[in-house]
Amino acid sequence: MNIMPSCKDVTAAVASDDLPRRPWHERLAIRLHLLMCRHCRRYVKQLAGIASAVRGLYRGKPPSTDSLEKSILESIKKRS
Amino acid sequence: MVAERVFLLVALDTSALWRSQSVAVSIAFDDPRLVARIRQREPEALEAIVREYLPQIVRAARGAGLKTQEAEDVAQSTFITFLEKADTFEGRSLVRTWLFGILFRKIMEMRRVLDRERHTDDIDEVMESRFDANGSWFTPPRSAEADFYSREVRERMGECLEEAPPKQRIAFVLREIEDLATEEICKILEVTVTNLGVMLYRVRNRLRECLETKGVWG
Repeated sequence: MNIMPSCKDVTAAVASDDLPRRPWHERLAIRLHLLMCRHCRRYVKQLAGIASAVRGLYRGKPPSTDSLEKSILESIKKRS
Repeated sequence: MVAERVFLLVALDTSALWRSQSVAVSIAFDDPRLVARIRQREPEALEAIVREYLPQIVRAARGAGLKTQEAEDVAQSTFITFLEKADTFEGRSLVRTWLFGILFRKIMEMRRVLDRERHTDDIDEVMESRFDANGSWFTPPRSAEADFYSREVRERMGECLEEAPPKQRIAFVLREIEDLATEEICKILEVTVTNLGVMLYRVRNRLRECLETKGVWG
């Protein structure tokens, strides 16, 4: 990566969760880029929106697993 | 003061950009003595594991694209395999990692058949076309506003998830829904950190592009 990361560099680092493994100066450069670039900020916001929406879809009220649990526990009893 | 701000900027990792990291479930499930109890197939230990992880396993299976009945069947099958192999558990990974690994292999076996005829766009090429030669946005994101609470947008999100390749989708589910750490996901999917990064990059961009095509962003 160049000293000043491009939008392409920033999107790649963010979308692949690679930021924590980058050296400190790259992380700083990416942060600074995000402060200055509204397109990349919008991109990050989109990914955040997607993640939060998917969590909302699947983390709502969980379907009851009581009967399934009972059935698995019976299998355990039979086999042990 | 300035130095402190710089430190804070640098110290934040990617997840801090948009998500909070949950603390891994531990309770007594990290207890080394549990390994021996599992290997001896002690019913109380096995039952406690079923009670602790069944809802998570069913949720992950549904997140990976299985219908409710399919998800319950594959969850049951996951625990049966776990039970059958309990005496080989060496405790080198968390029980949860082991269970998710079994679940992942079962879903991939199912999906391999279903996905045989399926073709998907190459998201890498789509992303290449988004930037100019200098790596600046050529066609930037138009908006980040979307009403994810509306039924219509949720349906479109569901459709876009359906189009994602199974392995990428499972990686996404383990990261975003189950909040697992990179190292644990890599163990479950048996991939390197770099491979996982590529999968997450592709699935996130695939979802983003798909939602854009469907006119979700305001």
